[in-house]
Amino acid sequence: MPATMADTRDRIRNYLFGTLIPTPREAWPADDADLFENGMDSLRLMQILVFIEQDVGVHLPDEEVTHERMSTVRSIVEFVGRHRRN
Amino acid sequence: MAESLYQLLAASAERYPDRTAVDFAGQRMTYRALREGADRMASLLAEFGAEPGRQVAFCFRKSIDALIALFGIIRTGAAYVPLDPTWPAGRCAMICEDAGIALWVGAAAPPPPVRVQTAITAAPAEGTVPLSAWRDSSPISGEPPAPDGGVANVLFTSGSTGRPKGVRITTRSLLHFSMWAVDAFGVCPDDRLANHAPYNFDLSTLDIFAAVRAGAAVVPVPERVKMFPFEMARYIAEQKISVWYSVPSALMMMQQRGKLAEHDMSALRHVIFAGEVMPKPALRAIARDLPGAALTNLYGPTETNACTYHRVTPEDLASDDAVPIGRPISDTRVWIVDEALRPVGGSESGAQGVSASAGELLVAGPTVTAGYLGDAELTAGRLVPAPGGDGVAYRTGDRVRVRRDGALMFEGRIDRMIKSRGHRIEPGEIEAALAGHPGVQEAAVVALPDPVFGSRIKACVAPRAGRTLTDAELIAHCRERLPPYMVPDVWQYYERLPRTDREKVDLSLLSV
Repeated sequence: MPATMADTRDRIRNYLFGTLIPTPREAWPADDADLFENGMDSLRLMQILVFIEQDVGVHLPDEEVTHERMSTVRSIVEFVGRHRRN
Repeated sequence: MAESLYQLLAASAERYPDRTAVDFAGQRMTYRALREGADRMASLLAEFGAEPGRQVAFCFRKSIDALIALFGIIRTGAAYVPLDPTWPAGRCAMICEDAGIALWVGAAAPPPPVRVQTAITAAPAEGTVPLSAWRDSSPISGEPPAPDGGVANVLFTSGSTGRPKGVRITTRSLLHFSMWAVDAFGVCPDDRLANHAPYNFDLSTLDIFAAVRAGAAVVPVPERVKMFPFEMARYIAEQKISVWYSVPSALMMMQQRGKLAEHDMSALRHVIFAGEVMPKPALRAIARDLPGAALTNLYGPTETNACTYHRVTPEDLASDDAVPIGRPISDTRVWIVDEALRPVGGSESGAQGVSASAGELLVAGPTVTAGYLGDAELTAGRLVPAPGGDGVAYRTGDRVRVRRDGALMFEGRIDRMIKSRGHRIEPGEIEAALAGHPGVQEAAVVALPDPVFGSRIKACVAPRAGRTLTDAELIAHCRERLPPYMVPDVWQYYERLPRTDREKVDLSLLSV
């Protein structure tokens, strides 16, 4: 994984499980765990989108924000990575 | 008026047998098929004890199976008790115990510690009866039970004592409300009503029963779509939804991130919202992006279903005042009362009087609840003699005033109830959950205003001496006991919660 992808992953995980859905570190879900089974809801979905735009600096087009792309840490990181390159 | 909710389905199956009753994820079911499914499902349910006076747990996400099961329960004369699959198992167990539930119908088996005699489930599970067995059952025989004040469903909402309370919604209420809605919104067989709200939310009853009464199509919104604004907007366009009903926050998310103006929304003729206050800037933006749709604000606690309404006018959009909650629906009376329950404004015919004073709103009419399941004391406290002595009225706990033109204006709560994402939340229930944590000395919960979601929930916690608590630890504790929407969003810790000079927790200092 390129360094920027790893950094993005860490920042998103830290925000998700450190701030948005605070979870004991030893219980942080795996990267392919379904976030919607782990506390993600409509309010938090909007918050993670704002975080990605403002703190990660990547704009995610609204029309591409789907369940498939936002349901796991892995899919979010890949989604962000595609748009960072663009 | 039809005699029962089942007869709404039966009448549409007679008149429009080949019209679509349900359209979900590429599958369509006609009215003929839905009625036959409900009749066979009722036979299966009756075999396991469903009958008038009983409650049946109903735990589904959106699906065609869910609607067959729902009408099957109704056909037996039992009441359905919707449980959300996202709720913690402990909460489901508490509700099943309080409702005396012996029969569970759901997508999946009841999670421990829920204990029922029989579980009928769509997903195969050991010890359960397959839901698909309805296909092999004979249609139930005999006349469907007449309503006669019977209970159609029991909706469990947040309870201030720490235990959810079951609101008993009568068949009469749903028959009247669906009749009013069909008339008020002109619902006809060509309509397609989105079903967005979960089944445990009273909003879902308009979509289902008004559609079935009119012979229109119910179009459930898939879970994979409903949290994603652009997907939701696309769904409305592609599915040619003509009537949409949701909480304002869902509409606001669609307006902000769904690019409404880019979709073909020509089929959408009416947008209805309820459950929380719609901010005026958001309403203006929605009206701008959906110029072909009429907008209506419905108001009413679960205990009354919708009891007042207001059709949004150009004058409303131009004004900076809040959107009115409007006037009573048919056959409904409202009063504004003071603390002694003496009328200070409004009138029996629909708040025609002009009153500068604000007060609590009382509501009487056919949609008012029959009371709380197994809680006579709470029922007596909320269902009070109507002013003038004619029947009972429900104390909403909402503070309202009458506008110069007679429309009711919502001004807030007289108690601590919080509205977030359309859900009503009793801080006391969250505080009770927190108090059950061994490290918590005391806890209080307050609302923080949020421009999209109504409120965010803030928990203020004082740990026991020598204990250090973390957000993660308390959130994990809450998630085992509370629905996701009741888990606090913001946490703050205190050595001791601030007090007023009377030694009560000073909530005003916590809301900052």
